[in-house]
Amino acid sequence: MYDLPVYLLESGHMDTQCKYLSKLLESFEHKPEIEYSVVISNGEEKKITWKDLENECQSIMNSLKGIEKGVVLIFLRHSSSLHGAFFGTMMAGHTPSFMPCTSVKQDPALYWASHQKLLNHIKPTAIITSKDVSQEILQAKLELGNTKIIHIEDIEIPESKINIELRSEDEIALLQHSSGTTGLKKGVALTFDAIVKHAESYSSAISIIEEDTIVSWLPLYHDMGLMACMIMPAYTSTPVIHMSPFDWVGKPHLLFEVIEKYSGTLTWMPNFAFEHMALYAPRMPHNYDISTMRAFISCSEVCRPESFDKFFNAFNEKGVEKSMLHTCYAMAETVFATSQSTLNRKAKRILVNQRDLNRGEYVRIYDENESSLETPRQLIETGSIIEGLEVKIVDEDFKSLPELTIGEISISGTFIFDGYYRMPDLTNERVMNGSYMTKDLGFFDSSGRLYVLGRVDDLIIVQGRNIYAHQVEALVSTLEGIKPGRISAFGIYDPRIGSESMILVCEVENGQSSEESQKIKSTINKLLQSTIEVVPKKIRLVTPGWLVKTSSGKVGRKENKEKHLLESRGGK
Amino acid sequence: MNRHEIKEVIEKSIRTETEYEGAIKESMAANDIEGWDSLAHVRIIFRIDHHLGTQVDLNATYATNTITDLIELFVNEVE
Repeated sequence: MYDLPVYLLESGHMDTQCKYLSKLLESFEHKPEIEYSVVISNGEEKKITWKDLENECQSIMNSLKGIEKGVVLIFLRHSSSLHGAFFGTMMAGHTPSFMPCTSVKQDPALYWASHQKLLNHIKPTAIITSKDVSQEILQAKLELGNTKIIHIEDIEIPESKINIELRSEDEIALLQHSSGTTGLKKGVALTFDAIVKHAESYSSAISIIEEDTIVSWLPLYHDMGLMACMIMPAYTSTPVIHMSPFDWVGKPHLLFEVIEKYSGTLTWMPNFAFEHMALYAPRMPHNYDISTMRAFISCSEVCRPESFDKFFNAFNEKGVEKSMLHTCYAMAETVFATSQSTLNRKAKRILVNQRDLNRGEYVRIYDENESSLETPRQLIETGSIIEGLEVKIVDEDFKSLPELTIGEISISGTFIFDGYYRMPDLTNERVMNGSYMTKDLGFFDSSGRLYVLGRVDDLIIVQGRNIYAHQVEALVSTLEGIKPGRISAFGIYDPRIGSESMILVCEVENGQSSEESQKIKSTINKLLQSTIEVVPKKIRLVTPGWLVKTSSGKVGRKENKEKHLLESRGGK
Repeated sequence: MNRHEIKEVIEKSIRTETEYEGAIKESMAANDIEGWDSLAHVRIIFRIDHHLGTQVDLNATYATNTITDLIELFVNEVE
């Protein structure tokens, strides 16, 4: 039980206290001058104390006065305003959700038009945004209904402090928009109870201590950025240094610069980022002291040992040790982390035969020096299951499988999501008898370490972004020149970037000129860049009849992927 | 290094990072070339910088519309 700040005791909400918000209020009350966070943008650093955060929250609560309680979407670019906007919305009794804004490479008209379906589905009571973003929304002529637009530039601190709306633990705290193209994104609903239990369990798994400082370039609309680098550390009062993802991608050395300056100890990033950092290594302006680091944690896409090796080889001289490289298996549906490798110990690797890695098969582990394997593959653990969750590996009939046998990963426990927002059918499809069916394939070894291999369904994870093939196909199907429904999208692992790339095969009418083909490809690229911010690695325009159909008459992704790979290798 | 040589470095970097095999024309934009996503863009620029010994401002490269613009940006940088 936490001591409640004085003004809460006076507010008369004692019987419905919410542990998460109470913890934030405790920090407002007891450490107003202590640093909550530092936000770095365009080379400028803005320090936010707990008092600053409280003032920002109060201003947001002030601006939300009189607005019907509901979902509030936050469309803000990387800035210090993000935190107050989110927590202030929560404290005003609304449900916040961060949403991405347009990037420089996206067409604003296409981007915002693709949001109409999402807005119709969510019916947000308010949108918190900046004036420049709001201008884009207005120009796109979105139908907003009764949704109120709040400009972050216009918010004002109230003359007298507004009481925080403490809510019950089982109320929805926030929506985390997960996989899906813009129009069909799933809002993962998480209760206060779930985010508290996750924060307590995960912070214990990584042994968060008072001296820790988290360094992050992750966007807050992504579950890894939101949960590992904002929701959990706010609860544990761990300072976070936030960089802009756009700044980091162009100048990866900024991560080390910030670690050195702020004595960073923890950071999370997807697999491709380890490769990106290693690629950039020769351009590092100077040696940084990153000896304070406890862990670089790989998450959000399948962790690859070879990416760790490149990162280690590139930065070993700068102080990166193998014991600093860690793995985590996470998803929004379990708030964030499901498993975590043990810090201060090297993540375990095993040698297997790629040919054994099929659903239902037993995985034989070979001696690391075994050289007779034709298709050797090294796997890295994603750690042990964190407290509060139970994970089973199941077959197609949902029966538990023994260790070292590949099956679907199913998760139950005390911090599973509350369902997809206003999507009961989808929720029922994915939650069976209280267990969330992840559609990820994996297995346990004999010591209870989890290994994650890939997907059961058509999800393609491109640089940490979740893209469903069927949704890409539906988007492209609307374009002129493409035969509707005659498209196949699939992912292929690209070892150069350490992530999957998307391949798109589309049937087009016979007799297309090269100019017409080029125009179709450019239109596809522009549409996908502007709506899902992922462009295919390759677009193959093929003649009618090329795509393989399954026995049920559908375009088969697996079959077409095999056909594409065979032809790419020169086969018939 | 003259404009033609810079253009060759840029074309080669684009091909390496996107694995694009079609014709590359100066009038083309990123959307016209398969595989040129935001990460590929950064990798292309890293590669060009490495070959030309430059360090261009990434934001300036985002503002370019065509390959001609990109070539001109690097020509100015080399000068």
